[in-house]
Amino acid sequence: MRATFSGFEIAKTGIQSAETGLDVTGQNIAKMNTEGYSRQTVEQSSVYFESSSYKYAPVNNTVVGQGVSLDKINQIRDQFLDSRFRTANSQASELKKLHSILSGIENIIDETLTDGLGSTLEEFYKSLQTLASNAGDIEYSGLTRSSAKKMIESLNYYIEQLNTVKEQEEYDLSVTVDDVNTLLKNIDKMNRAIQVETLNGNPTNELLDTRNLYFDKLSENLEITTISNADGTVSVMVGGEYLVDPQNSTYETVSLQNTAGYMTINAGGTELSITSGTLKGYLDALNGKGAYATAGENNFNGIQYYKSMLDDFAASFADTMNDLNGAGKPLFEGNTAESIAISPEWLEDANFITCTILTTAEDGACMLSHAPSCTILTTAEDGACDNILRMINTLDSDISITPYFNGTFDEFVKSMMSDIAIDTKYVSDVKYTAAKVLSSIDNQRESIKGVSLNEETVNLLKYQKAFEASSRVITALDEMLDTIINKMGTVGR
Amino acid sequence: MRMTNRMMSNSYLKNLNNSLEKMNETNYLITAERSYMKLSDDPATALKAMKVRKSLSRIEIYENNLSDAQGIIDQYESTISSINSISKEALAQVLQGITGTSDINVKKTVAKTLRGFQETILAAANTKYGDDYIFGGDQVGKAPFSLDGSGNLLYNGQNVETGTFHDEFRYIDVGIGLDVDASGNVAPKSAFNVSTSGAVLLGTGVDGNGITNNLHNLLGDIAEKFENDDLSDIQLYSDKLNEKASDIRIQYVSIGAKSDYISFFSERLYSEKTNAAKRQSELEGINLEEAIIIFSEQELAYNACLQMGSKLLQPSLMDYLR
Repeated sequence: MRATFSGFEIAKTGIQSAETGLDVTGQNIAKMNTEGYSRQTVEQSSVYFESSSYKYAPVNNTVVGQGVSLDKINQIRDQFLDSRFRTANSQASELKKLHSILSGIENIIDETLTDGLGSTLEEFYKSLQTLASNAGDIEYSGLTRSSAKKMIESLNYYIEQLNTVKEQEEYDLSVTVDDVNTLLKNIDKMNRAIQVETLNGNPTNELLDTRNLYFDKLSENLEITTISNADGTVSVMVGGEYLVDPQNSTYETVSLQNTAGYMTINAGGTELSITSGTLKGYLDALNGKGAYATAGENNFNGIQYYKSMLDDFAASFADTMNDLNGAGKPLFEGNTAESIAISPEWLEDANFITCTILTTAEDGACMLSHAPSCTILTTAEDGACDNILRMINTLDSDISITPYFNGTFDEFVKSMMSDIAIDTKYVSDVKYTAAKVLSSIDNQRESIKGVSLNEETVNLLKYQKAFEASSRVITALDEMLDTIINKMGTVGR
Repeated sequence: MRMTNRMMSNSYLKNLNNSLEKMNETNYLITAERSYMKLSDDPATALKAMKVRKSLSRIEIYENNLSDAQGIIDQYESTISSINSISKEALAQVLQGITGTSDINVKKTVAKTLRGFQETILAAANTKYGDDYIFGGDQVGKAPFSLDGSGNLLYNGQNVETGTFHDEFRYIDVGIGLDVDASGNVAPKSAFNVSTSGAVLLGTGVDGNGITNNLHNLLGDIAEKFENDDLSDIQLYSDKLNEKASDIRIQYVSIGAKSDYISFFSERLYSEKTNAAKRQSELEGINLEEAIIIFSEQELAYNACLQMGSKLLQPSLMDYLR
């Protein structure tokens, strides 16, 4: 037997399902451009005939189903793509940051369009050559002094600029660390909200979207591992450390530690091992000592590497020139790129530069520039330029400028340029590839979770028609009942 | 693949931006007429170009040095030329004095002329080029020749007849591999020696007959003999003068070799410079025609991209339903 109002109930579920479908479609269209939104669908199922509620088995097989049941509003996401996206995002962001810092360093060292250390060094060399032809002439030794000064100034300028880049990046890093902390706090907050709503049986789709967006943003700064827990919360791990641990209702605050210029990111008192993300980019650029790194130190060619290179250049240059100028007659003072300067004696007298070390002695014993017993007989005014030629020759000879570099000063400057050029080029190329990979994964992800307007328009029509049809069913049933109640058995009335 | 509107608009924006970025890059290169703007654009080329820049700068230095050397050599040449004619003239005068009349006045005149030549030679030997006394050997800051209280000729403070003199060098680096040996001395073949010792030019010491080797002093001694009318051993002196005169002539002629050397290197440097400049423009310069074609292609792509945008971004099924 069919219950009288059974059809109404079925049609009602149809109307409800159509209405909800329209609501969800409306929501999808409204949020199609909202960051982090994943499209939603209505999960519905058939209400099936359950025999256990009947005392007797139905006589025939004409019992229909009981309409449709609205189970859940689902969001469409692919967790595998989410984690791939985050890994790619970490890598792409790291390279982007690294490239921007390296470009900053390159700007300082590059001499393609501007004058820098290399060209001022060449100018100094040129002035020595001119002095060699005009030895003793105060005008030309003055020229040599001013070109030496220019070179020293460009060294000072390099260091100053590198320090500016360093300070700027350190500041940016501290801001990024603050961002990370805000995100961790927000994730924890979301975890708690989701936990409560899940317990209460309420929908959590929007909360999940927000939390996922936080994960995406966090993955920009450092590579995270997420572990889903049964209660709907998610734990966040970085390098084996729990940063958000809902199981124990805790979350860590990361902090920036500066140990004598060596920056580390710490959480809960231990150093975090950061494998990618902008934080890794910052750390590499700020900590990287290149060839100067001892075991366990960061050996990326970072700011510290170039600073050490410049310091070694300054020290070696000052040493070499001072030695050549004779014992106790320093042309330069200071042994770092920051402190190197023209010595006060040379500043006072341009002819302080030793043009000749020839003596009356013909035996040649005194020809050695460093023999302290030599009395320098001739003064610069005599015009002999043998010592200037020695300086010129030394500038063209191989010198151990750093423990890792043996060559001329000029080659040293070029090797510095080649280091930064090759590193920047490499990072720029890899950055491009990483961005491509990221964009392709993002597209795949968007292809699954994004809202398609065409699809939603079709849904709109579908649900509208379904609503109309279900309503029509009710009208038909109503008319049927009307017939039975009001028109049946009225013959002769 | 399921396409969404966001995907379309995102990738459209990305592509539009890429296209604009490329145009911007090409625009930079064309305006600057360079094939790269910074090291990392093309490290290999940029570093090669740096090397070429250095060799251009070096060539410029050597050219300057060579032209300095040429100036000095030219000055030598004209000075030695005048000393050469003086010594010839002096020889003629002396020969005339010996063979000619025994008139004491004529002899006095010869003596006077010789004294005059002495002064001219001294002045010539103290010639300056710029601020340098070119016959000062390695000490060009002060006049090399002077006379002490008793009239002895001094070269750099030493008596030319009794002093000891060594080889003198003033090297100019002309790019033939300047080399300084272990004891700090310049290897002679590795640089150009522009010093000329006045002592060598005029002669030092005395010969076996006790006659001075110095032209200036020799002229003085001969003048003295004419003044005193004592021509007993004049033949020895006139022979000596003859010898000195040919010595000066040889020195004069040998300058030509130095000049040739300089012009040979100047020419070589010039062709090196031309090559390096060509190489530089190959490395750093841009092929304008090619670059402009590339730019036009990019412009076309950008325009197409823009046009596509108006069609791509708007329509969806929405637009076709009532």
